[in-house]
Parts: sequence; structure tokens; C-alpha cells
Amino acid sequence: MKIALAGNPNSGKTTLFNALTGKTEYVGNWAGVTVEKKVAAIKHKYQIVKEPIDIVDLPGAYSISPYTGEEAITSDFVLEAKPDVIVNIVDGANISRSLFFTTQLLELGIPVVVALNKADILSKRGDIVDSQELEKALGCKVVTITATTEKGLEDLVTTALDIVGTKQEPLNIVDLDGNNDVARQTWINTILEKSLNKKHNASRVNISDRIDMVVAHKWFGLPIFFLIMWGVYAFSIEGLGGFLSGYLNDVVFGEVIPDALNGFFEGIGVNPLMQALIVDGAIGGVGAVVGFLPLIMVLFFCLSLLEDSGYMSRVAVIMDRYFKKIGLSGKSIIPMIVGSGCAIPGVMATRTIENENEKRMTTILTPFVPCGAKLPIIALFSVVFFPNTSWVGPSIYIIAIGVIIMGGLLLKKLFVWENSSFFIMELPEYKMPSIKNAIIQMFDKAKGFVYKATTIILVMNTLVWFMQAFNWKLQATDIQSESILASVGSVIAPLLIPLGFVGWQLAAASITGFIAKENVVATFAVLFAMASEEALHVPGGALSQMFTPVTAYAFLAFNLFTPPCFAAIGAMNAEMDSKKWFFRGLAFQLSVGYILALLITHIGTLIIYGETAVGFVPAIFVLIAYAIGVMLLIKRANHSKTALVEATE
Amino acid sequence: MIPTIIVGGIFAIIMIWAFIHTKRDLKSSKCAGCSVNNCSSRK
Amino acid sequence: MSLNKAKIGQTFTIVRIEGHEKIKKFLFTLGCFEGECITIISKLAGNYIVNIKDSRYAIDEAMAKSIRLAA
Repeated sequence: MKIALAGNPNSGKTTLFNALTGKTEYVGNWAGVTVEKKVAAIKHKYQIVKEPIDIVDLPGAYSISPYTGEEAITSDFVLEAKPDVIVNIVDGANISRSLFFTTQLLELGIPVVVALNKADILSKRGDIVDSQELEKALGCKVVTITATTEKGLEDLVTTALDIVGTKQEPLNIVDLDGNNDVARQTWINTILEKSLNKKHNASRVNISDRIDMVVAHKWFGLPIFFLIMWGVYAFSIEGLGGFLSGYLNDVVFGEVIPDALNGFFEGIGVNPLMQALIVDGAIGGVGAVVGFLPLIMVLFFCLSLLEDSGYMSRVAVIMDRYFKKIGLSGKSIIPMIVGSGCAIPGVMATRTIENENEKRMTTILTPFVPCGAKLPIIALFSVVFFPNTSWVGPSIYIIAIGVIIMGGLLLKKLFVWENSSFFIMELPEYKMPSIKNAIIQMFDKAKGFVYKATTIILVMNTLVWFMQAFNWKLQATDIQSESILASVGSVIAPLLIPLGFVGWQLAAASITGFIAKENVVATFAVLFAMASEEALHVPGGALSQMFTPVTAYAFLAFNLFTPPCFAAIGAMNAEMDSKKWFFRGLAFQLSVGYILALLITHIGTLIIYGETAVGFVPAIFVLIAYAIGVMLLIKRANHSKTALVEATE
Repeated sequence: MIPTIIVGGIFAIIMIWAFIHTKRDLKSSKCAGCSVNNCSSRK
Repeated sequence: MSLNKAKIGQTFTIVRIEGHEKIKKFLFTLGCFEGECITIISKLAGNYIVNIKDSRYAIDEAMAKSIRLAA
């Protein structure tokens, strides 16, 4: 049996979904969080009949005639998949608007029960709803609930199950045969006069508005936003997260576990090669990554609080006028902020952008925001090359913003299109972020992170260990440079010379980074565990042999600003819906990471050390070739643009 | 010799588990950090 | 007059929505159409914050120009 949850964006569908199914789907206090339908079995405590019940969470819709991508998903599902019951979540904070969709749902012939959500807000405002009157007018049951506290849910489920199999009579609205939507609205106004006793005057300036006047202020808005984001990342990377991670990395994974295991294995007489495989390869690599777990947890905790508060839509407002300059609208910032957790849901969040070209551009730019998986790399390099400073982490985000802006400008110049976006963003009322929710999200992400470490990272790592411990004749070798990995890395290594990176190890690490960004750290752990006794995560540690602080920072930039992991690349491909654009996007990302690293290495080395770095000459050639290439592309784009204009005249 | 085989065996079992899960996730394109249901259902 | 010229803090009645059919219909589902009330709450960062029915929305200059209000 299928129960579908349909209603306006941000009305509480996903919160209800989570409450009914026990899942922890992503909830954010802004319109457009859920971009695709989700199905799950109802929780045991609500499974009150024999037949298994599935709950379907749908993206928010204001009406059944789709004007946005998400509305189309909801519309298609409701019209084709024919759920057994529709639970129409009516946002108690805006009943009038919600009812428009309700009137349409009631015409489908599928039994509908209205769940009047956010009862807590209604009572806080002093508004009173006469549910009986509403039921009479709508011709369907109305159950009052508060999804966040799970109040009224049992009642809702019982009512929903009661009406299965009944036929929903459509409303008797005058003038409706011409599909006259105005008639609908008029009818809604009429019935609300009888059933809604409003004390709350929505058009009066309230606390949310006052906060907005500060937070979205013409001059203060942007600095405030930067300050908040800087705070979140500084707290995660350098503050609490970094502190706990330091302990985990240095003590637990640096001494306690390896010492214990080595002692144990030697004690029972295990083959040294097997011992090395397990301790240096598997544990070493995975441990190097898992040590950063506290960092990830703190970050997601903070992000969850931020997203729950309702601040995100305001950020879209602040960024709108800057994004307009690169051909996007403020809406594009949301996938980027989501992407700072993980690029995959970030890229999927671009579905809320109607304009195809803006959507594609946002999809290409979103992975430039460092995701959770990139944090271990940032933290590692920060500790080894820039100990006792706190600017590395935040600087990466500033560069990300710069890259997005410059990248956006470049994309706009390179690819021809007309700018036809309109920007309208719903601003939900601020609410006190739920600590409970943040903790749930935090542990959810932690679980995922550890799971990722023990599957894909473990597998990769063991492979890497094997490849650096054996040569092509499958003999164990102490000389790393003769190993399989070395020869694989050496193929790519020449391409990194213009960037000032010398060594197959760097190429190898970067390649493994495409499978999961955390692998860069894991691969280094494996490679240098064999080569040196010193731990990885200490200032001036093993990595210092391969980099100067400048080239280290460049390497960091290289791995952070190239295409994301394969999973995210796959998501990009799915959203682009066009192979041409997909490859353009990839090429763009590759070139950005490459050129950025190139510039950092050479300009940095010149400025800070007063000498040229390795690979200076090839770098000049590459730079010139790239500049020429870009200029040619821009010229060609301008040509197409004028052709387009001439054709339409 | 024997300890190596036993330890190797245990490790192999863990690795096989990890490998199977990795393959499964790659197929459904799920990245463990995100519980996003994937998008090939684009209508 | 169009919304971008209207006085901040006042409530107006909508006379007409101009522009693409798509935008008109979308605004309609929010309750923004001829005869309905819209309040201009403030102007922030180049966008207008308005109240339609019981919700706040931020709209940009282009959108504001296409909403015509009764003087």
C-alpha cells in the first residue's frame, strides 16, 4: 500500500516522512530541499494493519500543473503511480496558499486526508482553525499535526488507512469547468473566512524581517555571510574538530593501534609482508582518513544548524546581485552550500534551477566548493606545512569563491546563451535550529564516513599498498621506485612537472583521489609509512620531502579544484543531461585545477623564495598555450553570439 | 606459517566484504557519506 | 505603477502581472494575481521582500518591474 506525501515546498513533508519511516532524509528550512521522490516502509509502530505500508515523499509543489522541475515529479507521480492515499500536508504557516494545491488534489479521485502541519506555529501566532468547518468545506478529513514533535501522527495514519478504497469526491466549486483557477482562489478565500480565525497579521514587520534587515543588508550581508562560513570551517578544521582529530591521528592511529598490532603480529609469528600489508597498508591508510572523523562530524553539525535556521534562503538573496554578474541568480548558491557537505546532493540540488544553462553552469561550479571528503587533505597539509596557523582552511574557501566567480565569468564568455532568469525565493520564518536534528545528521554522516573508509578506501588502499610493495614481476621489493605503482604514477608524473610537482607518488595520490578524495591522504599514508618512520600528521613530517610549503599549497589546490570523485562526476553527468556539456564541464574543471596550481607554484615560489620553481620553463609554455586556447574559444563564442543576434534581427 | 594463513584468511574475509559493498555502492552510485536515493528515475 | 516604484511598507492591490506566461502562472499559484493584496516589506541587497498571502518572498528587480499595482 502506498501513501504519498504531497504539499507545498517546506511544508514539512520530509520531516513527516522521517518521523513515519525512521529514515534520516535531508531536511532543510528552505524551499527546494527534496528534489526527487523517496520511498520507505513505515515504521513498525505505525504499521497497524497487515498489509505493508510504504510512504512516498515527494518534492514540494505549489500546484499540480508543473512550472518547476520538482512540481513535475510530484505531478507525474500522483497522476501515474496512483497512490492509495494522498496525505496532503498543508503548511499551517500559510494555509491559504497551500489550499490551492489541495483543491487540485481533491479532483484526482484518490482519497485525500489533509494533514494540517505546524500546529505549534499556528497556536503561537494565535490563529485558530476550525477543522470541522474545513472538513465540511473540503469534503475530506483534516488532521492537525506537528511533524517535528510527532504530535498527531497516529491519528493521521489511522485516518489515512480508514479512507483507503473510498472515492474522493471533487469539490463543488462554481465556474470550475473552464479550469478557472481564479475561481479556486476565490472559493478558498470564502471557506477560510469561515474556518480560519486569524490573529496574526502577516504583512506586519516581524522579528524575522528585522533579522533580515541586518543579515541581508546591502553592505553588511556579504561580510556577515563570510564571517559565518569562516566560523563554521574554522571551528571544524582548526577548532574542536581539528583538536580531536589531532589526537586521533597522532595517538590512536599513530601509536596505539600500530604498536599494538605490530607487537601482536610479531608475537604470533606472522609473515612480515602480511604484517606490513595489514598495519601499514590497510590500517595505515584507513586510519589516516578515519582520524579526521571528528572534523567531519563537527562540520556537519554546524552546517545542519545553519540550514535548519532558515538562513540559507537569505544567503540566496544576498548573493543574487553578485551572481547576476556571472549570469546566474542567487538560487545557485544553495547547491554550493549543500555541496560544502558533499558535492553529490549539491549537484542534485541544481534541479531547482529552471533555466537549463544556469543549471549547467551551477553544476560545473558546485564541486569547486570543498566537500567533506576534501577536509582531510586540507587538514593534513595544514598540519604538516603550516602548523600553528589557522588560515589554511578558510583560505581554501576564499579561493573557492574566487574560482567560482572567475570560472563563472569565463563560462559565460565561452558558451553562448541568453540571460533570462528571474529570481524569486521564498523566505521561511527563522526558527531555532533543532539540536536533535543536527546530532542525528552528524551521526548519520559519521556512519557514512566510517562506512566509506572501511569499504572503498580500504579496498583502494590495500590495492595501493600492494602496487607499491611489488614490482611487475610480482616480487616484493623494498625499492618503491621499482614498484607497479611507481610505473603507473610515472606515466602521469611528467604532466605535473609544469606544476612544480616532482615524483610519481604525487601523481599516484592524485589519481586515487578521483575514486574518493580522502584517498589522497590514505595513499600518502601508505607510501610514506614504508619509506620513513616518521608519522604523517606531524609538522615537517614525511611529506616535507616532496614539497615546499608553496608547492604543498599548490598541490592542495590542485586536488581540491580538479573534478570531484567519480561518484560526484557521475552525478554531474546525470544532471547535465548532455554529453557535450558534461565533457565541457570536466575539461573546465581539470583546466582550472591545473592552471591554479601552476600559478600558485610559480608565482608563489618567485615571491616567497625569490627563485624559480621546478618546471618553470614548461609552465610558461603551458600558460601561453592555455591563454591562446581560451582566447580562441572566446573569439569563437563571440562570433556565434553575433551570428545569433544577426539571425534574430 | 600457520599464523600468517589465519590472519591472512581473516583479512581476506574483511577485504571481500569491503569489496562487495564497494561494488554494490558503485553500481547504485551511492557515496556512503550521502543517503541520497539516486537519480536515474528522471522522468 | 510597478512594484519597484512603489512605497516600502505599504500594502497594494495587484492590477496586472506582465511577462512570460510561465511566470504569471507560477506567481498565480502563490496567490499573486489580479485583485490580490501584496505588501512590500523591505528592500534588501537589491531585492524586494514582499508578503503574499502569509509568506515572504524575495524577488529581483526584473520581477518587481513586471508586477503592476494599483496606485
